[in-house]
Amino acid sequence: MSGFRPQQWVVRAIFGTLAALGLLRVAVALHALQMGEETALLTLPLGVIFPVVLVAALLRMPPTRTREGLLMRLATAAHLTLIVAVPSLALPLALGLPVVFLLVELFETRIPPTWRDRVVRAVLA
Amino acid sequence: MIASYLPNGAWPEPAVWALRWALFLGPLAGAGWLMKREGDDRRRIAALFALLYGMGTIFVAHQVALAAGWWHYGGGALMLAGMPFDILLGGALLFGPVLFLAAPQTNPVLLAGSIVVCLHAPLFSSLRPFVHAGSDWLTGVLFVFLIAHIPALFLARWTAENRRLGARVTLLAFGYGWLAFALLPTLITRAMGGSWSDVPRTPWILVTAAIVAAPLLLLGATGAHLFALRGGGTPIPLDPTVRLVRGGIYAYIRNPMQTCTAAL
Repeated sequence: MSGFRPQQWVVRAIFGTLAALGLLRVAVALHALQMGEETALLTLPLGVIFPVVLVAALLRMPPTRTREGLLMRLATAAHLTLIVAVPSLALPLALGLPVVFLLVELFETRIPPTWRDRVVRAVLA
Repeated sequence: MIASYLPNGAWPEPAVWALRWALFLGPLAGAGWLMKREGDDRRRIAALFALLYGMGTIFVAHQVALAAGWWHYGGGALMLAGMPFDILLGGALLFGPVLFLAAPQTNPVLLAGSIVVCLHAPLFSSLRPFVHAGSDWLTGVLFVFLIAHIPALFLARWTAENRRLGARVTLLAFGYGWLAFALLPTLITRAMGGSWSDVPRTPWILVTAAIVAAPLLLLGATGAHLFALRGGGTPIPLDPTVRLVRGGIYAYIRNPMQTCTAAL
């Protein structure tokens, strides 16, 4: 199918990072539970599993018709990874999701073409 | 009812954790599976509308329930104004996309009624320490169903069948209002480290706020009303108008609803 899709290494990097972060969050939650603190365990579904499901759904979607569309998807996936990575800032980051689209717009319109094309070639198949 | 079978009348902690996980992950998995399986785009949009309607209204209905003392939640994880946020999302998913897509032809009142009888009646007063039910909890459950769950299912059904446009636009405006002016500001306030109790509520501030808000709300509602009346659609692009609306407030402002939301 024609269209824009990410390079395999980008997909692997995102899922690899998410897997590592997820395991870390589970380990932290279990350690906290041993100390009698259940909050970290109760936040796992919304703070870890939900973002991972969203990233998986985003990266399994069909190829986009535009390059910008795919950059939006990848940026959102990276943002969700950040939400998993920094639980103390998860809510501000989640509320700031629209900023991701603004950043992609700025990247597409304001970055010098040489730099932009180099980045795009590296992440887009 | 179940409480009489439990030691000390409360669930053991691991069971409470499992229940809390299940109340979010169950509806999430169900919604994902049903959305993927659903072949009709119109029904998917209908399910999404039910979710959007549910998020704001469940939050507000629970605020009323908490204030009335019908119940309160135990624990401190993911709490937003006294309500666990994962439970809010799980509820909006369950009583929106999941139930609608699982039983699109079933009357929402029958669907909701059977859930109250089969699930809430035997379980609700037995959920300590997760939920501490007050003596009037059934009133609260019926209130939440009347304000949030049943209208969400009706909105989905009418959207899927493309009928009762006026009622759909009214429900969308109602749901959007609570989402934009109650849930989102609460989330933003929480993200900034504050709470609504930090906001001064002297009578003159409330009166001034009402005087400023009323015309803006009216203007926004007029925009939605014109979309239904003259455009034959809803303000949400997923269920758009079939005719271009150029009259009324649209002769002066291109997007009155967004303008009013931003101004408010």
